[in-house]
Amino acid sequence: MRRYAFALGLLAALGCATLVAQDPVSGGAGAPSADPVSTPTRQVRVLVALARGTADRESWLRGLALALAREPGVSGVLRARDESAYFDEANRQDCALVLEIAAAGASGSRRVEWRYLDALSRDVLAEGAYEAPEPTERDLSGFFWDEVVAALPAAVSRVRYTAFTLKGKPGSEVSGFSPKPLIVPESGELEIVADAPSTYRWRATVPGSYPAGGVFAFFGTEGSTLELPDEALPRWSFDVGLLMGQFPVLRYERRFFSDRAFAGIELVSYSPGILLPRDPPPEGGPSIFVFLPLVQPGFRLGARLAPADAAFRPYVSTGAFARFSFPGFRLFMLDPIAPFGLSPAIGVEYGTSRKLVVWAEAAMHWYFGPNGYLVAASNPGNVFFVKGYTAIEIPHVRFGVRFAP
Amino acid sequence: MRANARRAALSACILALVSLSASCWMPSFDPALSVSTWMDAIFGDHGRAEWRKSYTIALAGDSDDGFSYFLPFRMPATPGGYVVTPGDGYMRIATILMGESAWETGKVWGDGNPLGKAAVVGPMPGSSETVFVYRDPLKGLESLVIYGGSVNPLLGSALTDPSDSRRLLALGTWSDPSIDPGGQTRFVEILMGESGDAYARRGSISTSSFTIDSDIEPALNDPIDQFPVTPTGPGFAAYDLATSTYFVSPNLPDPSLWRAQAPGAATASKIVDLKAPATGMVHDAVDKPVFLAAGRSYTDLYSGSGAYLGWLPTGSWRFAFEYWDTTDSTWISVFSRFMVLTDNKDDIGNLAFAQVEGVPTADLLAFAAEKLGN
Repeated sequence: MRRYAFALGLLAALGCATLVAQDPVSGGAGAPSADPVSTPTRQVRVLVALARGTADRESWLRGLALALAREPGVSGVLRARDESAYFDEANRQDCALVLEIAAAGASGSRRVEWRYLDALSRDVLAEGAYEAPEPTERDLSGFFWDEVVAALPAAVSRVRYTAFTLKGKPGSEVSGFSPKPLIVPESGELEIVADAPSTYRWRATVPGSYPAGGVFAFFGTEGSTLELPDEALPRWSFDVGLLMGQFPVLRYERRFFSDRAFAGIELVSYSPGILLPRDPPPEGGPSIFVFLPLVQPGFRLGARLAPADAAFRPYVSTGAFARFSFPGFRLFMLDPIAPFGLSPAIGVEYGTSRKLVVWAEAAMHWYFGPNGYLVAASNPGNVFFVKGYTAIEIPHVRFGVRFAP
Repeated sequence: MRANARRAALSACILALVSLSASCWMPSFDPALSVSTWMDAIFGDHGRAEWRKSYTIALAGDSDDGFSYFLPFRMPATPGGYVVTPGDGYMRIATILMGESAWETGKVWGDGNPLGKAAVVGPMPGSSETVFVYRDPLKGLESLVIYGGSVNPLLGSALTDPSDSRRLLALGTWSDPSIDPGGQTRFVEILMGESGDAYARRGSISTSSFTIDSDIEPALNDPIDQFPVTPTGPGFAAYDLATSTYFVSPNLPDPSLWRAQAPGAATASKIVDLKAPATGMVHDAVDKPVFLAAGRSYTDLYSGSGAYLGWLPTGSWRFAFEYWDTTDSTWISVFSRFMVLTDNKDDIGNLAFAQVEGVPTADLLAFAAEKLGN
């Protein structure tokens, strides 16, 4: 019974409600519009300011917040902390809409006055009042706010229309301005409707360029533009490194798929190399340099597991190589013991700058030859797996510097 | 940019230091072993089946220092041999294999100390149980009876006499087909006196007692041409029966081949500079000596007159000896290859393979001659 009485009162109150501003799309006061009002496409944050003196303030705010949060046009509901300067607070908190609520009355009845205001211009977008029996906590979390909630879409649609322009390379994917990433069209410009003020943490992946990101504060200023940086990704790189800190490694790599993949050629030379024996040679003993008559050209493919602008970029790769031997320079031959092999590797590179990175990786040689045991006998203890025509060497470490002009 | 470069250099230096601290890594590559596979072809085509043997050996303890080699017995009918490990100034007979069973547990005969410092180990021809050893300080030849476990010092060497001031210039073995049994290995030592006089002594080996004859042909304790070189340790010596010529490759920084003939009326003459010290002598089709100078990867061949005859990609194949095959009346060159597969530093021991091949020397020389143009 109480519920029906409330519903009747609410209908009466709705009849009295006046929209002081009309939807620009419908163009007419009170005219039924086709619908931006009922299905708002914009989302705003709402700051709720409940007038002082309202009884059971916490219950009222909680119920109102719940009722508003259910609306698709609302991306967030905040409570005003400051009862006098809540417009400033709304702007600081990126709330485009302020909802003022005042309640008065006694002896079992309440008169509720409400107003939606544009946080930036402080224009009243919608207002109204209704009387209703003193609500219970259950009422407050439900139908008690139906009138206020019903007026929300219209108010949202009247929030000052603001936009900024995003300029960037066509095809750039920009996230942070909407639930789904935006794609910059062929024109290179994209207008983004945004509430003002608002702040966005954005990130853009630009084809052929380094990813970009940052924080954009939009104050609704006419002609605001966010230009995406366009620093081209390197198309190739050149490595200089050492295998186990001893043998030189040279690489040339081409980079693909926004620097996520690479393919290149590699040369490992075992002549010269550095060899520090476990037992230091006596004075005048053999040099620390070692010259093994072996070179190992190869190619490799790999993928980087982090974007190009990350400081640390792990990667995986695999390569194939051939071994050429020239003992005493009398013979130059494919090493008959292990002529071919594979070299899977995992590594990480640390960028000290866009053009210069330091890399380190763990790799292993998986040899193929006429007899895996001959590979094992080539350096006893250096392989951990031998079977048939293959032998796998204990993993080793490589590191070096990578130039990417 | 400069700061970035500094950061990169610093990072690279840190990595370099960390890595250099363990810079004793080597790839799975042994040039000698790789080269030796070229010899597999000629062994496959011309090798004698009766010599072809392979052994799987469990080496006891930490017996691999990269210089161990396999010394096969000198008779094809007797499979087996010795694993010889030159230790820190010692020769150690680590393992003796008998038969062709897949596994033979290695035996370490002490730590080589019973023999003292050794420089040369030669197999005892006709015996599967004895090797002879030259050891330093200059105590002369000894025979080591493996299964008896005892050392029988040779009294015949002049070097065992403290009053003899001669020093050993070279020592080696040579095969004498004129002695029965055919291909009997004999040995020769070249001695130098402080006054510059030189003596050559040839000895035979008694296979019945498994010891080297203590009185090695005293009649041949003859002076030979003097050597204007100072021995720094025993080198290689061989004796050519047909021309009564001693061939010597002294242990000198620059390897060379010398000729000396008794009686010593002149100075020994250097025949030719070698690419590596001579390590063996074989015979060509007309029984003239051919010298093998084995380097790390290749063995160069020289005639007795110093002519370069070609080279062999021997690599890990080590010339063991030359055998006179009385059946075919032909010389057989016997090689062995020894490979250690593991690198255990404890009592687990290491796994090793040994292979033996014998090929007619004529085929070997023909193969080497093919390399003359290369």
